[in-house]
Amino acid sequence: MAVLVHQRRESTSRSLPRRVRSRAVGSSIVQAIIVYALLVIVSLITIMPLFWALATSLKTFKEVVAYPPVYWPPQPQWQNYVPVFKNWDFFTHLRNTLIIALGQALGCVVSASVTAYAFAKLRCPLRDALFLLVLSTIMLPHFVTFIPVYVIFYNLRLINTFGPFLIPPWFGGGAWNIFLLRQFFKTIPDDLLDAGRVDGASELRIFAQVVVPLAKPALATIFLFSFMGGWNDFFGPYIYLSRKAMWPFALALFALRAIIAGDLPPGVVGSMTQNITMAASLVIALPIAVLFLFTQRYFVEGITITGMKG
Amino acid sequence: MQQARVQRLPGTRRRWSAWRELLSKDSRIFFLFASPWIIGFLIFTAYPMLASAYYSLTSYKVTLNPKWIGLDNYAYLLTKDINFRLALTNSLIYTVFSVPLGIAISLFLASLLNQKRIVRGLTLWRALFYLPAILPAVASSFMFQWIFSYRYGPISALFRFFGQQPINFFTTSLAQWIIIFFSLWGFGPGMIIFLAGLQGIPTVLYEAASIDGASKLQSFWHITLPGISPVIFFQFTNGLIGSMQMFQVAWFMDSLPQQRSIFLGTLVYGNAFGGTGVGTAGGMGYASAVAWVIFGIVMVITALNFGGSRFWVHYEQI
Repeated sequence: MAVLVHQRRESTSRSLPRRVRSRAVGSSIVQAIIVYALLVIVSLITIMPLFWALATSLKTFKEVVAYPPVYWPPQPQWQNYVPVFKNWDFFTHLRNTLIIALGQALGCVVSASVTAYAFAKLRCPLRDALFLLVLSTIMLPHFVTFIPVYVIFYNLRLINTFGPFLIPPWFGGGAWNIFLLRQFFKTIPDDLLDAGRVDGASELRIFAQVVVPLAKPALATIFLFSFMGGWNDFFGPYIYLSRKAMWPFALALFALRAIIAGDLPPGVVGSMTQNITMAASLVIALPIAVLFLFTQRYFVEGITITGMKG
Repeated sequence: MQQARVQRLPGTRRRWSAWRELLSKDSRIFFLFASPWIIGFLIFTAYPMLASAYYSLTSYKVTLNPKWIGLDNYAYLLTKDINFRLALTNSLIYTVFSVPLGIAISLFLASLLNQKRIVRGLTLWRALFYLPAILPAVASSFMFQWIFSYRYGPISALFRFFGQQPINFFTTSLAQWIIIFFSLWGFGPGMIIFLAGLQGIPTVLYEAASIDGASKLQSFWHITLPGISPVIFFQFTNGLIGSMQMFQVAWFMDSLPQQRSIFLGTLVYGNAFGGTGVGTAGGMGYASAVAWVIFGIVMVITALNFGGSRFWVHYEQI
């Protein structure tokens, strides 16, 4: 069918008079110009705040407040990045961020894959009903559950510890992740698993030695999603961690909000000024941006699976 | 959305054999593997839902015991609390604009990128457009806010350049739009989902349409839109849940005036933990009541949406 249509199209375009054909080529050039112009405008909008942050981070105080504004400092002040590492407990915050992000990612990968395997490949009369329940939890606003969960951790004396971040991921690993992995596991042929079963391998062994190696890309996707989720998470640390020594980057940066918010002259709030706050924002965002650029493929696939087959 | 394939199991014909099936070796292994989620569901979802429903009927601060007060929280919430009315209005305005606009923008850009004969360097464009969505929200909201800074921002400078008085976006009703604009800035994930949806529509359909003399707009209306209607539906449902409990943006942009930055999400947080700003510290009981009202609103809109979906969402395979 497709071939047929294609041929017919070819023949019609060939039989068109030359004048008409050249007009078609002209209009497609115009079309290309419009498309590219739009793409460039949109990418300028997406990049603009990042560019301005970078420019600000390299300015002197004077240049920050100058009018007309300095779009790019003639002498970039790279030393603005020094206080981010020296005066800001950078490495404490980095350690805390990594504990939360890595711990969360590990728990999510392990428990979501085990659970997803059950929903994809194991048999039980309640399986489909339970899976519907998994999916329905996606619809539940987290504000409905977060207060009692807070009370649980409060009663366990786990406020101001990493417990609230490191424990829950081991219990299911998130409905989206289960869903994504289940979709992936379903594509693994049953014959592969049956071969193992015939040989008398236990289900856990089949899972660990047959399924997991095949599912590496999907597991990497889950790991990346959860890692970035942990790195970027604000709400969790905000309610559970009030001690400054426990703060991840998100909270440490949030503490500087008054500097950006107020139209205060530079240097009024503490020792951090706008240019240094912007430097800190970029330093925190950069690892995530780089990680994303190198693993874009996993992201695109993960988002596509959850978005399309949902 | 994929229909779950119902597996025909030998024991499902009669009820008693279904029960036996439930205790079979296969089922036991299933429950073993699914147990992390099942336990997690009971501890972190099912129990908290019941507890929060109970708290919403009590007066409760975390260090004290809950005291039963019946429907007082809801009564106060719906009749007396000015902050709730403000939060509801702000959240609804935010949802009404950010969700459809977000869908429209991401669909539009996905259609632009999907013109395979014209667009080169898809990976690069995709990465550029996606970037704002993956950055830590605190950092990106700072950067975003800094652009709109009244005194030092480039946008104010632009106003001055044209001899106009710059606008302080954060103290006027435009603050609402800054928040909406910020949410639209993160259109990347939606765009990627739409892009995949568009690639799933067979090109034969477009070719057939162009032979029949259909214009681009007609093809978009009669082929593209029906083809990706399930994706639009998904985006809408998801966006609704997210935007009705939006918390972070309003919380990060410290320069927002209070009445503009009260959203349902910040109202729950403010009451539960007594945050900066947000009027009453009604405690966890009151916060739970607000949370259940959010849940109720989301459920009602989603139900209406599901009901309406059969008129515009096309699931048939093309």
